Amino acid sequence: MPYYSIYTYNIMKSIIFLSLILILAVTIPPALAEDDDDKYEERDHDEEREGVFEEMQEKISGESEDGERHDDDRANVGGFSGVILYGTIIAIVATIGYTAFKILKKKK
Amino acid sequence: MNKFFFIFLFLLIPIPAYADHDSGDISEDLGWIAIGVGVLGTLPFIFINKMRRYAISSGNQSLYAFKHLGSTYKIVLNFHIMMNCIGYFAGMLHGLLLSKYMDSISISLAIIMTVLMTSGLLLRYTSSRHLTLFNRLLHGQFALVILLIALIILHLMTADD
Repeated sequence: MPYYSIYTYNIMKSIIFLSLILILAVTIPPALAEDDDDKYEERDHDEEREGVFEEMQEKISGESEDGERHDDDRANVGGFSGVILYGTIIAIVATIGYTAFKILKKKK
Repeated sequence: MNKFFFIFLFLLIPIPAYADHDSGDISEDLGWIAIGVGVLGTLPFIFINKMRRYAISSGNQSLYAFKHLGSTYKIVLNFHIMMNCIGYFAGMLHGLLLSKYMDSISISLAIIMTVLMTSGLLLRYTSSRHLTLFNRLLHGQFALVILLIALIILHLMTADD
C-alpha cells in the first residue's frame, strides 16, 4: 500500500467528498424530475381534469382547454443542447480533477 | 455601522428591476442586472490583482501603489464578493422566473455559476488549509472563466428564441 502523508490524505478526503457532492447534485435532480414526469403522465392518462384545482393547474401550466400539452418550450437535452450541457459538466469535473492533480503533484 | 449600511445599500441594487411595473420584463431586467453587476464586481478586482502581482514580480517603482495596497485590497475583495453575490442571486431569480423556457445553456450557466460561487465563498470564509488551497486553484481556473463568458454569450444569443 502506498504511503501518504496526513496532509495528502486530508486533501484526498476533501476531494473525494466534494466529488461525491457534485455527482449527487448532477444526478439526483434529473432522476427526481424524470420520476415526477412519469407520475404526471400516468395521472393524465387515468383521470380527466375536473374541478377548481384542475382548472387552476391548467391555467398555471398554460394548457389549452382540450387538454393538449405544449411541450415545445421545455428543455430538450439531446443533440447540440446535450453537447453543451454534458460538455459543461465534463469541463467542471475535469477542472476539479486537474486542480486536485496539481495539488497532489506539488505535495509529492 | 457604516459597513452594514453599505451592505444594505448593495442589496437594494436589484430592486430597480421591479420599478417599471408596466414593462412586464422584470425577469429579463434581472438577467441584465446579473451580468452588469458581475462585470462591475469582477473586472476591477482582476485588474488590481494582476497589477499587484506584476508590481511585486517586476519590482517596478512606478507601480509602488499596487505593491502596497494594504487595506485597500480587502475593500476591493469585499466589493468583488458583494457584487458577485448580488449577481448570483439576481441571475438565479431570473432563472426561476423564466424556468418555463429553460434550456441546456441556462442549466449549464446555473451549474458553472454555482461552482464558481461556492468555491469563492469557501475560499473566503473557511479556515481549513486544504480547502483554501483547493478552492484558490479552482476559483482562479482560466478555463472556467472562459466557459462562463462563452455560456453568457450563447445565452444572450439564444434567449429570444
